[in-house]
Order: sequence, then structure tokens, then C-alpha cells
Amino acid sequence: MTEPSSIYLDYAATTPVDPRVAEHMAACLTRDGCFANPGSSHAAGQAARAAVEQARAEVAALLGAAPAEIIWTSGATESDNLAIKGVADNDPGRHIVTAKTEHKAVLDSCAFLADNGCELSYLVPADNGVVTPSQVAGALREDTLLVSIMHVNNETGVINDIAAIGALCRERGVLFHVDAAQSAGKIPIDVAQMPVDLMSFSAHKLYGPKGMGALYVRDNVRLRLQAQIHGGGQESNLRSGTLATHQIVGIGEAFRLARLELDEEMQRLAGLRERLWNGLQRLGDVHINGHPEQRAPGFLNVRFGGVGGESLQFALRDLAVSSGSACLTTSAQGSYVLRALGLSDAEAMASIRFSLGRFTTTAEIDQAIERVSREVTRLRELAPDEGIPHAADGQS
Amino acid sequence: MRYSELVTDHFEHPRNVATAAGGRVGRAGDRRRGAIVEFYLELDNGRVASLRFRAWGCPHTIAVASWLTGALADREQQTLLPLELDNIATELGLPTDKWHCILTAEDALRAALEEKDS
Repeated sequence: MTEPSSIYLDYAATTPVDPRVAEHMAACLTRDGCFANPGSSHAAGQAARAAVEQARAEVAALLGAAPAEIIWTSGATESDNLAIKGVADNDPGRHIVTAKTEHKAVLDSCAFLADNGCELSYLVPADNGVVTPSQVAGALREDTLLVSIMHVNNETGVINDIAAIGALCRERGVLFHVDAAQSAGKIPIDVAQMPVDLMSFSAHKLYGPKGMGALYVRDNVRLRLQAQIHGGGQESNLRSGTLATHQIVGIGEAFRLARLELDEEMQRLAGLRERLWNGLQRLGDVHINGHPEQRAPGFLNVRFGGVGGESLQFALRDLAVSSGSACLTTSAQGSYVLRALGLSDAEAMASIRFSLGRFTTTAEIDQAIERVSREVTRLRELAPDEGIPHAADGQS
Repeated sequence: MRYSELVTDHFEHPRNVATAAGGRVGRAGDRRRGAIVEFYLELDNGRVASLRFRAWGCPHTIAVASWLTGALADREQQTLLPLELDNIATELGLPTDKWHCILTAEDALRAALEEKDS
């Protein structure tokens, strides 16, 4: 049996809770903490309410938003659902633009709407994974209600020009939703400079707890959003349910730390990513998936020529990385995101996403390079001399 | 995908890997089907004197080819084919959607038997 890896390079899948965050959360759970219902008017409830509002201010601060524009949810998937279906419910039967490389939470919300009277346009990015503003402009129609384009792609780390896409949506009077689950705390976000109407976040992608997220709703868009969960009327009737103070305090502290450490962490991760790439390149026939520069610092998605994808995945099973497809790892099919970038199924399967994070060290990067190099070399040496697939001719 | 202990062992420690040409060479499979197997077979008085392999594909393909080089050692030429699919699949714990790995190996072995000694 292989021992579980001590090398974790799958921070884009999820992150451990930062101990500083966990400490704040734990203090909210027990009798001597702010466990009371933030909706209660007594002093204990108001103490919890104060903690919730402090967290809201911290989340808003990372985004350059007003605290009142932050709605608590259970994570980016719920935020995406609320944003997309919430807007469409209020104004049914209209046209929506998104891209084939979006997260499943966006694609499946859109598919649901397509089954219920909306018309969808799915943009296919260029081979570098970037969805361009001109592509979006070309897809807009008179009856377009919403554009939903992610900020940073969860598999490739490719960054879309949200400011430019938002500007043209604003000009055309079209609402703009952005899934920012992979960009918050990794690259700067400023909704004062980015004409975004709705933006989705998860806490667990930046060292907060799982089961916690937020939706940024620009103040003048709130009335155009229909709640998807009904009940006690919390969050200005947009998302009912007793507020989970400890979770909210967790996302607040996570976003606060991310804001304070953003600049330094971006530089550190970019350096580590470069070290990883330089090490892997020595193998030869290794290729970056997605735009080589327009990427968030912690991402490196590469494909290896000359090895079978399933064998590569199995050989590297003691290394915590994502392969083939981040969200469908039991599937024998290549990632739909990588396929949308023009890769063959075999190439997508022979791709690995390394995602680096706050606790990644230089020593871990060096060990990862050593393990990957050893296994790729071994599998290549085992292959017949002829007919070995190479990434460059994978389209045939 | 789950891999049996035997498949894992052969995948990680493949036996009888061909490092040089020699004997009868048989090749089967292609990249579109996800598996390529090459056998290098040497016969002596109608028996298998040496069987080595190279393979590209999934762990099952590599493990099947590696395992066969041991299982078929010293066998009489006439008894090599057809491979006993059920027994091999059971022995190696292959799921039914991986039986094609055995068939690719069988095709490679047949191709080797049809070759003349090089």
C-alpha cells in the first residue's frame, strides 16, 4: 500500500483551514462564545450579529465592495445558482451567454434554464483558454439578459479580462456574473474597477471552512434577483436560513488574511510555480495547458507526451494533484475544460494540474519534480519505440 | 478505477521488459484504442525460451503484458493461443471493461508467432 502523500499540490480543489481561521471559528461554537442566533434581538444574539457583520466587512474589503453587497451562501456552487437562476427567474425566457470552460455549477445552472425556456450561447475559448471580450461582444443579442464568465479557470488558472467584459456588458445593459471562486485571495479583485454585477466565492478555496460562501450583489442589482431558498427571510430575503456564525467568522478571517498577504503570496507562489515548471521541462515533451502568462500564480496545468493518462495518474497516486478532470476523477474521459481548449481525450487524460498554496514549500516542489520525473521516465521507457503518442500530434 | 494487488505489482515492477530487439516481434493495438503491446518471442524446440514485452497504455495493459511473460514461460508453442480470457481476467482482477487489454496482448502474441525469427 502507498502511504498517503505528505505533498499536497491540490489547493485549487480545496485548502486546509488556516489555524488562525480555525481559532476564530472555534471561539464561536461553545457557550462562552457567540453561539447565539444572530437574528435574535437579545444581547447574546446581537454579539453574534456583530461578529457576522465584522466578517461581512472583511469579505467586502478584499473585493472593494460595500458590506451590504455581500450575501452569505453555502459556497460558490450555491452562489452561482442564486446568481444565474435568481436573475433568470425574475426575467424569464431570455438569452444567456456563458463559456464551455465554466465550472459545472455555472454550466448546470444554465442547462437547467435552457430546459426551462432560456436560450443559451456557449463560447468556446481560444486554445490558450482565454474567453475574449470580442467573443462576448459577438454573442450579445437584443434579448441577452446575463453573461456569466469566470475570473480564473479552476483547471488551467487562466485569467479572463473581467474588467473589459464587464465594461461591454454595462454598455449594452446586460447583467454580468463572475465565478471568482479561484481568484479571490489569489489575484487582486476590485469591483470598483470591474463592472461586475454578481460575483461568487467559496471560503474553502482560501483557507476558510467548507460549506461557506458568498455572493457579491451590486446594490442596484438586488431587486433583479429572486431568492432560491425561502424561509426566515435572512440576508434581505435573498437567502433564508439561520446564519452559521462560526462559518461566517471563518470566511471573514480567511478573506482578511488573504487581503493582508495577497501581494507577498502572489510573488512567492509565482516563484514556486516557475521552479516546478523548470524542473518538469527537463523531461522534454511537456506542455503547458492554457495561456502561459495570463494565469493565476499558483496554477500549473501540464500534459506529458509519451505516457498513457491512466497510467500517469496511477503512478502519481501518492502525490496529491488533480488529473484529467478535477471534478470527475472517477471518469475515464478527459476534462471537458481541456477538451474545449482543443486537446484530444488522450492529451487531456495525460494532463496534471498542480495547484500551489499557502503551505507549499520549496522542498515539496523539488520532491514533486523528482517523483513526476521518475514515473514519466519509467513509463516512457516501457513504451514501444514506435507509435508512442506525442502531445503535438494528438489531434489526428 | 481500482487496481488489484497483482496489477499494481506488475505495473510498478514490470517483469521481462525488452531492452533490445531480438526474436520474433509481434505488435498490436494503437493509441486511439489506448493500448499498444509488443512481444519479443524466442522459441526453442517448439517451446517458449524467452518472452519479453514493451507496452504503452493503462496500468492493466502493462500488467497483463508483464504477467503473461511469466505465465507463458516454457509453454509449448501450440498451447499459447487462444489466451484463456476468463482465467487471466480472474487472476489479475480485471474489470470487464478492461478485457480489451488481454485481447491486445493476444493479438501481439499472435503477431509474434506469425513472425519469422529475426
